[in-house]
Amino acid sequence: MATPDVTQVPAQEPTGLSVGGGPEIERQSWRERMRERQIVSSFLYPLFTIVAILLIWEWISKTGRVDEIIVPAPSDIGESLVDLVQQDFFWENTWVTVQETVIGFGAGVLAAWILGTLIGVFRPFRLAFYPLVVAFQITPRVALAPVFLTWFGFGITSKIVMAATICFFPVLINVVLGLQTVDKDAHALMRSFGASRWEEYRKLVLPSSLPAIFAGLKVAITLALIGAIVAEFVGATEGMGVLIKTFNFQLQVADGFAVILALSIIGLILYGITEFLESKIVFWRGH
Amino acid sequence: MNRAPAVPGETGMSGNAPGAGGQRAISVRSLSKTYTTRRGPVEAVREATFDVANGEFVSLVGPSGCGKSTILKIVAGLIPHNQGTVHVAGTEAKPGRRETGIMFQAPVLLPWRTVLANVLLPTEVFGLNNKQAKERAHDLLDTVGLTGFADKYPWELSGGMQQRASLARVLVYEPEILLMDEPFAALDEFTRERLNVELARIHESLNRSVLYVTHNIQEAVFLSDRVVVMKPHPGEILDIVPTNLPRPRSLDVIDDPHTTQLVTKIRRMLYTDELGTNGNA
Repeated sequence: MATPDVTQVPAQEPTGLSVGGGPEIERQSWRERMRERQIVSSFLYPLFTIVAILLIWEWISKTGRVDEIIVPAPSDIGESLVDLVQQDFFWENTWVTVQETVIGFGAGVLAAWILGTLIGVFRPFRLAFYPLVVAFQITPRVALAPVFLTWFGFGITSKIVMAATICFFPVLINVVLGLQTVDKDAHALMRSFGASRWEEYRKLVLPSSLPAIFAGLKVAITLALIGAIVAEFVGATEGMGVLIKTFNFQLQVADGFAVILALSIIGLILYGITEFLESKIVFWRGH
Repeated sequence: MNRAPAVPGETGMSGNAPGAGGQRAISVRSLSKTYTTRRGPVEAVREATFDVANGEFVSLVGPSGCGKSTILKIVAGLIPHNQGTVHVAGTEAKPGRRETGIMFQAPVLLPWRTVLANVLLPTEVFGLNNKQAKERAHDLLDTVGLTGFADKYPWELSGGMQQRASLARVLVYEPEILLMDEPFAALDEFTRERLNVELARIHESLNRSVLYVTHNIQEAVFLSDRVVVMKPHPGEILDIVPTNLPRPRSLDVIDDPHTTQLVTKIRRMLYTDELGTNGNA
């Protein structure tokens, strides 16, 4: 009886070892699982909310509590979007709006950067322009859309100007703000080396102000899209704003909603690109 | 006026005779500075006169408001003065000269530059040979104890290490005169003491002239050949105290009774000025 017992003990030992190593591994994986769970829950909870809203919306629409023509069901909107992305005219109009947004953003940022730098660096400029700039900021710039239409016509230019105008401010303010955040000692240090103003700007002032500027750019990119769409509403022959208006006139509300959905996806992508650039360029931020 | 300038006032010290001024790295004569503020003029420095000889380590010590930092900034050419003369390496104080290098209480490292790139910053502005500068920068990082940190970013370094990097940056273009404005004041006591010992070592091996501003009497005594003791409101020199401590300065010097005596003497001097007593109050 003793012999089988002896052979059984070494046979069991590896198992015993792996069990002994178990808690350590288990604790780690438990911690990892907790982290994973946190990450998952930060997605799951909003997802749950969205799904719940969509389901209620679908139910209200499909049971005829609200006319489907006025509030189309999410499933219809989804279907419309799938249909639309297969059409050339959808992509042509999307391209127009993206162009207006990006060019307008670029122009607005460039103008704000130049004026902001002049205001921040040269006192006379600050005194001469800053009050004007603030006065202009108070004016609702959307109200200028009809004016721009008159000046620049139905084409892409009036939309670019609108997008540029609307994203000009947050960038300008942040450029001026960024210039003020330059460390005093660093400024003294550059001066002690006898750095020229340009050298100081390039090596110290510009990089110092980049985090603030990017904060402005992230606001500006979403505003540029708004500017382009508003300008298209006021008067245009192509663009996503035109699509939305047209679909709504034709009571193809689901298609209209699909375009709006596409718009928010574009906005998200543009914002994502800006944020990605920020993380790459201003990598030291937060330290 | 019992202030005794260690070197008698000198006239006719020509501005463009570096040979003649060669004995003195810094020469400050009857320097006065008054700031104009919104609440009226504030006299920061009154009639300050002292020298820093070549290779000498001189500290300006005194409480806040004694004008010690103001003097340093004037010597660095960063702010103008009202009266008197300030000669640095034989010529009027001005910024952008390679003979002087300044260090502040904050390390002032640019966060978008690596430690090496930060150290190289002045060489870029001065337009020095990049390859040689790089070699020197690496050597200096070894000297200040930052071997292997060249490619790190400033935020990855502790406060003490950041100040070491800052020291390497000021040494990289080989200025003859170092102007240091409380460089270790923001650090903890242990780090400060270690850096003091290392600064003494570096000073002794490189033989640069140093004007060092501090409010820490012990630090001033430990590091210096002479201590310029200043009082506030307005900033005036009370006395210039030669330390006569042996070099190289090591930790033993800190515990030396002579060091303690000097520290006590200077402290009494400052208290006496403040309270009008012998400092026992």
